[in-house]
Amino acid sequence: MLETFIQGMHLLLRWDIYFFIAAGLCIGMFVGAMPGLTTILALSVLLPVSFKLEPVLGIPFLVGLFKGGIYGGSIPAILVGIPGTAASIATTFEGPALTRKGHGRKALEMALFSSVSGDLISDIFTILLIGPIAIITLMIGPPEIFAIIFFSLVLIASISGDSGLKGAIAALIGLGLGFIGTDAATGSTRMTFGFMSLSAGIPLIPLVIGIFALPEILLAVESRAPRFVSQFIGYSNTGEKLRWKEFKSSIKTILRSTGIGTGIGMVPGVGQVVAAFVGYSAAKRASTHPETFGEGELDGIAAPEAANNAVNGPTMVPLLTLGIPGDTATAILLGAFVAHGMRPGPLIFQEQGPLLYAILMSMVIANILFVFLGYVLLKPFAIAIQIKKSYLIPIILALAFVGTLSTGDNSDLIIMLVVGFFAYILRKLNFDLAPLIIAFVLAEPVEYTLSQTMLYAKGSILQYIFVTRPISSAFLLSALIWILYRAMRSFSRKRT
Amino acid sequence: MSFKLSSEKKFFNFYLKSEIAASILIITIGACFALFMPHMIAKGGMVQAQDFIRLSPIFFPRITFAVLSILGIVYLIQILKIKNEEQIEETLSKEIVQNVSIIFLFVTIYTFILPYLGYGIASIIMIFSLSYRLGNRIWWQLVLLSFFIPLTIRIIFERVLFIYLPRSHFEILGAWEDKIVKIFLNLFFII
Repeated sequence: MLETFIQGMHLLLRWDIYFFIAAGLCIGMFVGAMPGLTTILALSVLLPVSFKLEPVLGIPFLVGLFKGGIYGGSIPAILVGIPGTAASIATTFEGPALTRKGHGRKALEMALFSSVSGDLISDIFTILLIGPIAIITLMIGPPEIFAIIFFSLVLIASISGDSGLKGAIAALIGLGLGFIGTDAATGSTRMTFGFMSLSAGIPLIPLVIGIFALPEILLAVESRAPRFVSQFIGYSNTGEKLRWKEFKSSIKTILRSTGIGTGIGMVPGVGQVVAAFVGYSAAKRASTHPETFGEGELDGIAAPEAANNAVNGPTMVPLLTLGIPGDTATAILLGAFVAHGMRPGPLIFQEQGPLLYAILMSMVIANILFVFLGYVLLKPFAIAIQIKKSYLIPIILALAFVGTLSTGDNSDLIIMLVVGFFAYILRKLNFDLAPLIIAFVLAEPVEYTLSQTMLYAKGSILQYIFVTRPISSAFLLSALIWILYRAMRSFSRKRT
Repeated sequence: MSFKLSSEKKFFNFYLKSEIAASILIITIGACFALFMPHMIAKGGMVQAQDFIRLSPIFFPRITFAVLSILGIVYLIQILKIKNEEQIEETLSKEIVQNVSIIFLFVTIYTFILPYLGYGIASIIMIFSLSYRLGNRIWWQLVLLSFFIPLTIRIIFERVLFIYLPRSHFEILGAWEDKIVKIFLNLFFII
């Protein structure tokens, strides 16, 4: 394993990797800082760019984009109380109060350093942990993988958004879309309705752009306000720099939040938003002066920012070892891995170990680069929040179309348009679309692993799973118990 | 006595109707796909494989759409139980519908003219009209924006990343676009 790791480090001895990571960080930070735009929008629009690059360049570019975006969201959250991304909602509890007190710069720098610290520690933890987990996953077979995918889908669908029911419907729509095209087990084509272009299935790029980019654009133009943020941001009034003493006093909070974020990151479907809230409330509970929370407390910035960034690394563990994306960003990353001929799963560390370690190490490099880039770019991006929609929206739309056209098939534009229209309606009806895209990318593996399980079972599948495969049966039973628990809880809530 | 609905009430009714329509659509699609799934499988594939593994290509999609239909019914029941506005958080107004419809129309037109006019010309039209619609009234900015963005995208994506972008079906337009790109590329390399 050490040898593979060293080979991976050798792959990183190229200047262009650092260039693409830095480019990803800058674009991500910029998009994250725009309250009307999300990091997922940037990931979906720029996903095709990564396809055209080597995997060791393209995937770190996307990783940088995501990391930059999560931090970028805290800039408007602190300065004007509008979160740039959902992950920075908890940052608005303290950020605006600190800005009003004249400590906006301290808050921004605390957010930067705690984000980088949380992310860096969780990335190192991920690199140390992923090898042994990969070895364990080699011992499991298709029945276990099927059960884990099924369990993950149930978990993701049930805890996404406000309503588990809508999450489940979104996941089933995603599965349904994923079944279009050629069945991997038998080679039959399904639900193509005579369109030859659908025989290979719905392509990922127009689907992702349709689901995430087009609705974002439509949501951004709902109001005719010329800018995303109407308040004036005067960066010169944000006060003094953060002092080492102030950062030192928050180290304990950062470490606690990193632990929380790392744990949450390993569970599929929970994500940054929950981690940030849990991190914030844990910091408040542990504080010797909880009454100051809400009135501008630097610990209240460090806690959610360290927690939401610490989620990033561990989400790679189920993705790379089992091929299960835990959230939308990792579902898009899975698409990038597959496009580069890498199928995440138990065998990937044997087949492409050095490349994977190079990608994992690029996450650490991204954090180191981010300390400098984030510090330098704080001021320009804080001012750029006020950019007019009339400049930005046409550029994003033009890029979204280029992304779709990268498949080389003009008919994909129609797929993007139709998917985008329905995705916007679903968003307006409060459907969370993360389960949809995750289920879409898992449709083929879930069906294929069940086919393999049936082959092993030789006709008596229930007996095979529940008698001879304890891990598989444990996951399936857990999923069933979870469904029953959620259904009963929802029923009893309505009655009361 | 007037029975005119307040704007909140109107919105509540509209939103509720949208939810009901969505749930009915989900139920219908789920039920139809589950019932007619055997007719949606094209002939071919490895029939022997289907016998061997005992998992036909119908099995999973059929279960998925059947469960979707059932959840659609639960969703419909939930909506019908909603009795007051307080249970609805989302906002939708006439202004939102109007703004979104216009922009979506722009996007639709762009989608259909792009393969015929080519990426460059179609993007110039789209960026100019979209930027104008979003409030930009400074003419020189509109012209610069709508000219340089497609040009920059074309140079970066086509020449650097090798992403093919559609050329106009009309030879005159296509030739002009190529000439302009070439001039700017030469300029770039000279600089």
